[in-house]
Amino acid sequence: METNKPPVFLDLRLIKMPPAALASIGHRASGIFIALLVPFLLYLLELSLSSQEGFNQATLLMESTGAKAATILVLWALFHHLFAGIRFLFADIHIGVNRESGRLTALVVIAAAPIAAIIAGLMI
Amino acid sequence: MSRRASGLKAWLVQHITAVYMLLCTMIGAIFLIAQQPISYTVWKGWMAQPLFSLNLLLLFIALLLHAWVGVRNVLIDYIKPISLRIFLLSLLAFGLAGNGLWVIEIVIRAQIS
Repeated sequence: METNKPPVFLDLRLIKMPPAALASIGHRASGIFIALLVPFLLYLLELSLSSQEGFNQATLLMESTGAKAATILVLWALFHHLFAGIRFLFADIHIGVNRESGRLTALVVIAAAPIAAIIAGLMI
Repeated sequence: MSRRASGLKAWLVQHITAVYMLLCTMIGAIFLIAQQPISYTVWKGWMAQPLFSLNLLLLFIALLLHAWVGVRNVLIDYIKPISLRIFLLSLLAFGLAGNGLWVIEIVIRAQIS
């Protein structure tokens, strides 16, 4: 069983992160963040289906100025998780795994996520 | 679950749920954009359709399974003290299971009301 151990050096304060590592740790951080949001999403779902009044309350909650900023933040996490996840899926079929393309796609993921979040956030 | 879902099985669960959620969100986004703004009646109407609500239910179940494997991996990587790790894993399992029951309740209620 000793041969199956995962790598042990994971001190995040001491590791210098190239783009691929940043995209990867961002994938983890955003994943945890989204997991914590699930109860709130279910609350919104329940509220929006409860009655016309509940639906109005839910939409009002989404449309307030503070909520707009929060929504964009949530969308950023979501898009980063989505894009980085798609990048991992491609890596599984051996696309974009060499050093240059891995670095490039990581940069694309990191840059595209906040842009997509702002566009989608303003559309809602 | 932790032992059974380790390794290849966890990897499979993560990938199948990821692709399913990706498809659902893309189709869902198209629906939302096509129907803007969405009224309560339209929203209720969607939920009354078995195909829609079943996929919504499956989407959340996929999300919860995906969260279980993902957060479990992160906890195993970063939480070293075994008692704390077990505590957090149990908390996660109970939390996710509770959310699962909740979403089942929401979907069933939307069908009968």
